[in-house]
Amino acid sequence: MTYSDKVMDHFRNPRNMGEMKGSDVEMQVGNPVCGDVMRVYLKVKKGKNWGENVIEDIRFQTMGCVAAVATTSMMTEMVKGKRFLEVEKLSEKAIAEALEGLPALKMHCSGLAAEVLKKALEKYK
Amino acid sequence: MGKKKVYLDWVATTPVKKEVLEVMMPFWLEKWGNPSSLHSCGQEVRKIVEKTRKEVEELVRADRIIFTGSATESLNLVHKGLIEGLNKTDCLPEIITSSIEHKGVLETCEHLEKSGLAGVRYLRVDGKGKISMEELFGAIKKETVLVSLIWVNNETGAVQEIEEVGKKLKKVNGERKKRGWGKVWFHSDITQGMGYLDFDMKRMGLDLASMTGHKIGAPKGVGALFLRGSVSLVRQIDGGGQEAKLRAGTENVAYVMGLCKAVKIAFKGKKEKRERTEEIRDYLIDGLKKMEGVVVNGSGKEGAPHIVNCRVSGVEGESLAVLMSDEGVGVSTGSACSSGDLKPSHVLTAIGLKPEEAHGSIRFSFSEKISKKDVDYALESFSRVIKKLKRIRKGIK
Ligand code: FES
Repeated sequence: MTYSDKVMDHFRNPRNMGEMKGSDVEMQVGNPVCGDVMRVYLKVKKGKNWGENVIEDIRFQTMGCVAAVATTSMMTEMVKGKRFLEVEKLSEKAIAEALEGLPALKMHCSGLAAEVLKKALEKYK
Repeated sequence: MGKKKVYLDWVATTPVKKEVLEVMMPFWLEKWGNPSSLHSCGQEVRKIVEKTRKEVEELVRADRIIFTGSATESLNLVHKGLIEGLNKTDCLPEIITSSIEHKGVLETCEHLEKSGLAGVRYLRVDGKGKISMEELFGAIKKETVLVSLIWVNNETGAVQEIEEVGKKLKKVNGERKKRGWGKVWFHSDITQGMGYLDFDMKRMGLDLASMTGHKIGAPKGVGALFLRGSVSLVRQIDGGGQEAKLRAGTENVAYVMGLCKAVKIAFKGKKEKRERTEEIRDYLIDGLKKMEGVVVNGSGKEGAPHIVNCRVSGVEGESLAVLMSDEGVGVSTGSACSSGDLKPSHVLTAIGLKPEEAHGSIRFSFSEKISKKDVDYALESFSRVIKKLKRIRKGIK
């Protein structure tokens, strides 16, 4: 199994990593099979409706494999500063593509990163 | 300036020894004949191969050696070949093996089960990775035809008491003979034991033993099956009559010579090599035990001299191994053969680890060539890497 340079870069130098004090939403998801866990913190600027809310800032923490760390890191980069309606459908595929691909076995890591975002957005009503 | 490099994955593979390569070289450039040819070009090679075969047979006290392409091939030949070679009876023959075998045994057994050719009983192991003699001998029944146990487990270093099993099995077979029951054959995957532990087919009571060359300084792509006594197998590769009609295909002469040389080297000064490696192992274990959140898995200091497996709470093995590699230290997450799989290692779960503990486990493996300085460097790297991963996971509950 080999990872792309982009995956390795995000794993070695995760972006937006760490806790956030005073966040508006916190969400944690895990995959029971591999045991990996991801957590995100969002700072939200309220818009006139749910879709217009803006992710002002985002942070993550991950306990897991190389791809788990890299996909959460990439996901935070992709959604930061965006409105909810722009990113609510961010897919496992889109994150993987932004990382120049993932091994088939590791697509679920990307799926987990998409899931944690989606659940965080839903939680913020 | 190049970064320091410390290779601590000697269970995965070892570098080819210079003396081994030197023995191999002439068989490409000068003595390149086919040993099956009748002319002098081939016969010259035949003589050397057979003489060397004999020397190794005497060394390990086997009656015959069959050269194969890998330990996995030998394992396939033993299990499938033995079952296929049995006299047809009404009852399903049974193999007894352990739950911590190499995939080469487990998958072959599964194949036999699925094809309806044999039943398989998988013995449990305790927290140190050992089978229970009681369970093993309680499991033997009339239909049992083979007991197959890995000598040194490649993930945790657990060592099974092969000699004791061999002795007890001899008694069992004596009884069976009186009753007119078939013999229970005894096989061991000796791959990780060959380099450090005393190996003697006769003393250990083994009928069959499988190994590969590349774990002891021979190249990848050559394995061996040792046979003792009258065991009969049906070959799995059909064709010419090579290897006493047990493995068709022109002998890979240079590699066979390399494997034989590596076995001979392994037998020289084994005790010193073992003691020196054990010292390194204990030094590493002591270092690991001082680190917060690190627990040594399985047999620890009671296991094989060259394998240490440990887990780190709250971090994941693949991430650990990759960051260790960035530090210049080569380690492995469990078995290299199963890393294409999401499931936790079957060996680590068998010794009682929870899935998350198994996922957070790392194997260090080494040789007498590794120094305490190397171990110090690996331990420093390990603690840096753990810190980094703990930072990334900090808030996870
Ligand atoms: S292996 Fe499951 S999230 Fe990476």
